[in-house]
Amino acid sequence: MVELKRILLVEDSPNDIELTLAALEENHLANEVVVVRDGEEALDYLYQRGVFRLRMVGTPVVVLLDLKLPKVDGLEVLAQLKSDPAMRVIPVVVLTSSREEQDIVRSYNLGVNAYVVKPVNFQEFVNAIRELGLFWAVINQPPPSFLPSVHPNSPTNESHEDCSQ
Amino acid sequence: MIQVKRTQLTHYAIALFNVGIALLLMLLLNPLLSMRESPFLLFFGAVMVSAWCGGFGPGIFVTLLSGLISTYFFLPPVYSQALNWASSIRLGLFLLEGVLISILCGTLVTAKLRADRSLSQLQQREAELHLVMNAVPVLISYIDSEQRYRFNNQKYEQWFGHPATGVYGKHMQEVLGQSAYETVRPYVEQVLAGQQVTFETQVSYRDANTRYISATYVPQWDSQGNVKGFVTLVSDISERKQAEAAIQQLNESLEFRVKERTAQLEAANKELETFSYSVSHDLRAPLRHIAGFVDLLQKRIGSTALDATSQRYLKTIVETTKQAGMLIDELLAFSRIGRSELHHTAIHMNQLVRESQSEVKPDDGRAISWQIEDLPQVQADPLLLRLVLRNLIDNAVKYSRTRPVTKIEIGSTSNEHEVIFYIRDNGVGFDMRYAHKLFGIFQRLHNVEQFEGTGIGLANVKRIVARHGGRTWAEGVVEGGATFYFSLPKMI
Repeated sequence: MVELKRILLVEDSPNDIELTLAALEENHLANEVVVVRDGEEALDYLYQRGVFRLRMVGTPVVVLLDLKLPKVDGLEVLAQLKSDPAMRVIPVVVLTSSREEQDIVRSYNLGVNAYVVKPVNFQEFVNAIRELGLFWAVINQPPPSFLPSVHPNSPTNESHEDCSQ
Repeated sequence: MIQVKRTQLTHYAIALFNVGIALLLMLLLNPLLSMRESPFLLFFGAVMVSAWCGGFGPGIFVTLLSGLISTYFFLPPVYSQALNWASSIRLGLFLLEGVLISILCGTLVTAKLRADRSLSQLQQREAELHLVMNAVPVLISYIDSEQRYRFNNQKYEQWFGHPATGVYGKHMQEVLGQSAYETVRPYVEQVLAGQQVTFETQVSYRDANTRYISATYVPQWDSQGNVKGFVTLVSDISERKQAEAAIQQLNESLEFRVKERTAQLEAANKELETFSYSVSHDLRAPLRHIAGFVDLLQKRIGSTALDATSQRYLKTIVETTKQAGMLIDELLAFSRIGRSELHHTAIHMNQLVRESQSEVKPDDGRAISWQIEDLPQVQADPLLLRLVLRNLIDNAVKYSRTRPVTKIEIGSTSNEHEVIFYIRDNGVGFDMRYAHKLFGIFQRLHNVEQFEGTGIGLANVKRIVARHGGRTWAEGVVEGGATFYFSLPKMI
């Protein structure tokens, strides 16, 4: 199966990665999830450079972005994506523990598509992930350029770090 | 010679005396010179002297008297008032000349009197002007179009230590010295071009005499419209300038200190923000992880595989985690209340109370009897003040739930400086010995089984009221209800 509706998860905490993937699984969202562990990797993935030089072409339908990240933090990633006309169209959802007003305001000023505070309660988190996944990966119609036509590399050549299912 | 205030009578007496002297001399000289040849010779003198001394009146008086005397003594026929025609002509001519002399002298005397009077007035005016000119704390000079000093007031001597008269007729450049002259030269040229000029500058006079001056140059015009000189008004403002410099220096150092202090405060604030950001982000994450993995664990083992106690343990872990998350959120909100800016507006307290009232709905559906007075308008941040009311009303409802009917009374009093609001309930009250603990953060007087809560509500109330410059306190009796007060300062 070639999963076209790929999700990019930018998260440094292994616990959060596991819980997010579990929540996606619980919601039966069969999207391919690419996980990167810091802002630099996220940018490398999106721009197809570094270790992601040879990855399968195509853009994720949504980027789930944590704010507090090693190396390049989430707001910087957001700023770079939203200031690049080629990347601006990718929906970015900030998924974070922080409900600090300044983070929310800055994210929206940078052009974030949605801002979600991770609830402490796991069931609420699962619900939130379901809403997010349903909306961005299923309901939302991505820009035309997102629809891949051909894949020059086979999926097995992909070099992302983690993948659900 | 002439006394202005001499009376007319004195003048006539002098006239009479003059006539007497003239007659005496004529009689004495008669044997030698035969006065009958020129019968009025000396009387002309008498007329002149009298008219000069006494003016027109005494002149005429002497003329007539002399005519009579001369007719009697010297005009033929002598010793008689009879006149032949030649004598009549001579008498007539004398009288005519006498009148002319009297008029002339009278006019001259009057003119002289006037001139004398004007002169003395002028002298008085000049003395007054001098007094004024020397009394003003300004160096006043008059300089002609050749830039030569013509006048200085006494200030000159005080400033430069030598008499002002010494520089009269000397050129400005010579008097002021090269440096000072160069400084004022543009202004001198301007005033000589006919333009009044005012300026402030620092001037180095001769002998290392440096002053900060404020000067005005006023041109003087002649009748042809040329500038014939100018008046200079110069004040020494060195002391003022020094004071200004001192003030500026003080301001700068104050500004520096304020900046320094502000930077320190900003740094502290920044640290606090970083701290609460870390709390917000890093402390919540592990809680979320605990809750998440417990949930996953529960699902993995399934509800049947665990005994009731194990299930209760897991449930407690979840509940406690939730509680910890709530505490963190409340702590962050508390910290935000301390940092957020206040936006003061006029608030109708009755309306705010009504809004808070409508949001309160006791979950047990019990009746609440509200008694709300007319409340004044206040100046405060509406969002924060609403939080205060909401907290206090919630508390009143919460701690009176054991009563069949909850009674809540909201009112206000005021004094000179502040408006005091109170919220009274008929609830469980509290022991006044622990009143000081009520407003502390996470301080509670009841356990969670009796009344739920985290102990942050009243801490928020206190913090908000304090940020408005007000006070908070409470009165209570165990099982006798409680009254919570807060005050807001009256805005001027």
